[in-house]
Amino acid sequence: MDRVSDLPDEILCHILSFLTTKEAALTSILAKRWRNLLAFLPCLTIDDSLLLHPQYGSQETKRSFTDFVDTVLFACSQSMPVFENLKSFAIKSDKGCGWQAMPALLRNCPRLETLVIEGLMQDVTSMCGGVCNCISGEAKGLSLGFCRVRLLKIHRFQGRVKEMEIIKHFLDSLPCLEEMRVYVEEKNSLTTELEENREVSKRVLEMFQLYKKSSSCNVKLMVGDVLCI
Amino acid sequence: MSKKMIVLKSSEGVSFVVEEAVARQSKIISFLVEEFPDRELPLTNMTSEILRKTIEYCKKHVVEDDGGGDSSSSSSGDLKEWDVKFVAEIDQPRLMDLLMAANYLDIPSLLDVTCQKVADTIAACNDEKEIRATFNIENDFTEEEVEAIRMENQYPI
Repeated sequence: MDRVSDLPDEILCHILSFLTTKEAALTSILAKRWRNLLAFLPCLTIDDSLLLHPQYGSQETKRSFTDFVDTVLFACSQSMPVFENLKSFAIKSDKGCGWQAMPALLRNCPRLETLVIEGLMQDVTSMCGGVCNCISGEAKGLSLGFCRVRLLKIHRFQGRVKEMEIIKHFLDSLPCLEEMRVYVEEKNSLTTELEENREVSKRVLEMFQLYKKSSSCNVKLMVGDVLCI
Repeated sequence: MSKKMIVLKSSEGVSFVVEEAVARQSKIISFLVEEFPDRELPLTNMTSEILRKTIEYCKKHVVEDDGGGDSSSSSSGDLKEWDVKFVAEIDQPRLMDLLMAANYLDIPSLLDVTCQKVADTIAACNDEKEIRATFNIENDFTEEEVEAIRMENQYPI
C-alpha cells in the first residue's frame, strides 16, 4: 500500500480535518481505504460560497449546496449512515439557498453538541423540514425536537425581524439548548439595520432581554468579543 | 552552568546528544527521561536522517525558560514562517517518515505541521486522479463501484 493510505485512521482524519469538507469529501472516491473516513471526522465545515453563485441565481446553483451536503452524508451511507463522532458542525448559509438538507444533517449527527450557523437569512424556506420557522402546525420544529445540540452559535446576525423569529423558534424547539451566542455582523459594506437604525437596535436588545428571561437557555448577543446582553 | 544533555540513538546506532529541554518536546521522551534518567534512549524505528530533522525542529521550537544568554525566542509569526519552509524542503517520502516520527514521539506541533503539509498537497490537486497520482494511491474500486458512488453523489437523498 502507498505511504499515505498506510497511515492510521486517526492520522488520516487529522489530515482531512485541515481540509474543507468539500475537499475532504473528494478523498472518499480515491480508494476503499478512504471511503468511510469522512464519517469519523470530529468536525465538519461546509462553506457554500464555493458552490453558490447568487449572481447567476439559477435553480440549479441554488440546489448545488444542499446536493453537496447530501453528498457528504451519502459518502458514508453504505457502512456508516450516521456521523457518530460529530460533535461540532459549522454551516454557512446564504440568502439564495434553502435549508432542505438540515433535517437530514441533524438526524445524522446524534452526538452533535455545537451547531454554528453563519447567516440566518435564507429565502428558500419551503423545504426546510421544520428547521426554520416557516412551517406551521404539528410539523413545526419537528426535526429540531430530536436534536441534542447544547450550544448554538449564530454569526452574521443583522437584526432583522425574520432573524428574530428564527432565533425564537430555535429557543422554543431545541430541547437541550443550554447556550445561544448571537454575533452581530461587523465590517459589512452594507450597513446593517442595527447600525443605521437606533430604534431597531433598541428593539432587538429588548427582545433579546425578553428571550433571556423567558428561556432556560443562556442567550448572549455579541459584537465581536464584546458581550451586549 | 551547563545544561543537562541526553543521548538519543537512531536505528543505525548513531548517537545524538541533545539538550534535555529540546528533547522533552516529545511527550514520550519526556516520560522516558523521568523513568530512565542517565540512559541512552534507543529509537530503533527512526533513521538518523529523520531523527536529525526532528531534533532540528525541536531545537527551533524549544522555549527557553532560564532567560539565559543565547536563547533565541522567535516570535510566533517567524516560527510559522520557519515551519512552512521546514516542511517545504522535505520530499514526500521523508515527510511521511517525519509525520510518523512526530506521531510516534508524540510531538503535537510537528504532527500538525506535517499533516497540514499533506492536506495542502491534497487541496492543491484539481481532482481525485491528481491526488492518486501525487500520492501513488491505487484505485481499488471497480468501475461499477465508482459509477455507484457518482450516482449517489449526483442524486440527493
